[in-house]
Amino acid sequence: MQATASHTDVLLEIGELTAGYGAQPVLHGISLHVARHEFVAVIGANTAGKSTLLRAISGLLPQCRGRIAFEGRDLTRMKAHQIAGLGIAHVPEGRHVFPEMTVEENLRMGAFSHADRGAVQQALERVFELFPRLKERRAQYAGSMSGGEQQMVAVGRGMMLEPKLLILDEPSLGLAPMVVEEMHQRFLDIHRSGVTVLLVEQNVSLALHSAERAYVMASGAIEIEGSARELLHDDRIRKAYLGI
Amino acid sequence: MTRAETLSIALPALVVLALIIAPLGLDPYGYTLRILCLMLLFCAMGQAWNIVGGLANQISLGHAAYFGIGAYSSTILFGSFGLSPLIGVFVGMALAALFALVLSLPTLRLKGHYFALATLAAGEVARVVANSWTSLTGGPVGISVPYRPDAGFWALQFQTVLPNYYLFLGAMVLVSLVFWRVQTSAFGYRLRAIKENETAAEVIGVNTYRVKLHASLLSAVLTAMLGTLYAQFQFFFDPDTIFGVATISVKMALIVILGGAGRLYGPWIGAAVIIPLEEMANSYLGNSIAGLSQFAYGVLLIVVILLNPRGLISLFESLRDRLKRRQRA
Repeated sequence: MQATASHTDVLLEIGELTAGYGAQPVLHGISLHVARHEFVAVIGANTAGKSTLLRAISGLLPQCRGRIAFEGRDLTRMKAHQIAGLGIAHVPEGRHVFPEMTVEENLRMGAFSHADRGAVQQALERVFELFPRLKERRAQYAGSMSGGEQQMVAVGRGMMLEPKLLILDEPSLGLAPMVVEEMHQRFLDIHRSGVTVLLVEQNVSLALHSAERAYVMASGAIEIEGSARELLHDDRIRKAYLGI
Repeated sequence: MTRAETLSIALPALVVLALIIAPLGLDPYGYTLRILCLMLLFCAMGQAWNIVGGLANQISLGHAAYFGIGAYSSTILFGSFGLSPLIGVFVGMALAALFALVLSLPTLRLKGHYFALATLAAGEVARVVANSWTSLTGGPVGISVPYRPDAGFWALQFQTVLPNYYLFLGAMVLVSLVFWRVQTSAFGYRLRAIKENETAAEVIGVNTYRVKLHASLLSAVLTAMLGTLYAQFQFFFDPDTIFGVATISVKMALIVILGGAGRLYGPWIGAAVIIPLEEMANSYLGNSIAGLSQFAYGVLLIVVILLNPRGLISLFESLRDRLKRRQRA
């Protein structure tokens, strides 16, 4: 069950992470790792602490004890904007777009780390290739778009950073099944293009079909870890999350 | 250039041109000219507040602190050391920046109402200090700018109100240009990102704290500059007016929110409505009901926020859009 990461290139490594919002920690000694070019999912019930884990990684939590290392660098003392600068793009839960900016302005906001206009333009073209709908709607205000389109804007804005690690927090929440399906195809495209993906998803079946490896969280701790294929056939998971 | 672009340059240029010509037909000592002066001054103050309050939605209710620091700095330096307000203004701006820096360290991490309350308290602290530090400020009785008509421009004092008017007009244009420059820059986009979604701004790499700090410093410095101009215009002021919550802080915010927060012409519209309205209220009602104008501000603010949080400018815009549609139809 315990997978070793010694022979692979570890991009993100979390050890004994205890974190939360106030006096009561939400996460109790989490340990996990994500190898470079891997697609890892974190699944679990609603209050398992999945989003809190992601927020801890990208520096959005006030309190953090333990180890979070990205390419060997310690993230626990860094601010969110510094962490983004290292190449971690976090797409927060709930489609956090800039509603009164156009689609293109939203995307360009994601590219402040790029030095020159040429690089920004290239990144923009790549996002438009990924989501042609955004190119059609580039001049529309993000706040006036459908939920699925806003999610595309949020993901596209993250991709403008040309991240090494893309963190997706519940990207299918509240979206129509067809849109969810399409969105996951894009995540696979992104992964194939060489980006490491860490996905938190309530839709366990979908997550396990997209990811290569997964962690199951419950009450702020990791309960099970394994390859997605294994977990799909694991009785505990089939009973608890897939309803089979 | 498209017609819209031509219009967006021509319209403000026409307004400024009208403001340049307007006083020529007026009594240079007169009441109307003084009202116009206050209108321009408060428009500029609103615009300075707009940089951080409008673009980033950091609702400061303590900007009177910067205004008062500017006014007191130049006045004390002129009165005690004969230092020209033309130099004193920079001392005031530097001190206001220092005050903004110290205030920002704890308050910029606060959100929403908490930020508003903390800045409100900071403004009140400035007022209390000015009232008690009698040896420096003269205390509650107020302070006068020494009258030196002989010193000419060096003393920034004039025989008529007209030069003051053009100073205010210049200041209003200057602060508006600064606002426009900020608004259209990458810095301005970061401020807007903070307003629209601070978490999203952080995770895409915006250093929200630093961006807010820089905007606050810029806003404070410009407000202090206007404080000096106000002192040279009024010749006399006291802590309760210059550091006043209703007379300065809330009025700055109200002018912007009424006109349209985060918009270049928001303070233009806001000041053009509020200042004459206030003068009319004062001349008709006099001092018969003390504190009525404060009460009126509060009511007005609530009404605007409830009915149309985008401000009066949005009424013009929806009217314009309707006309456009009719033309096309």
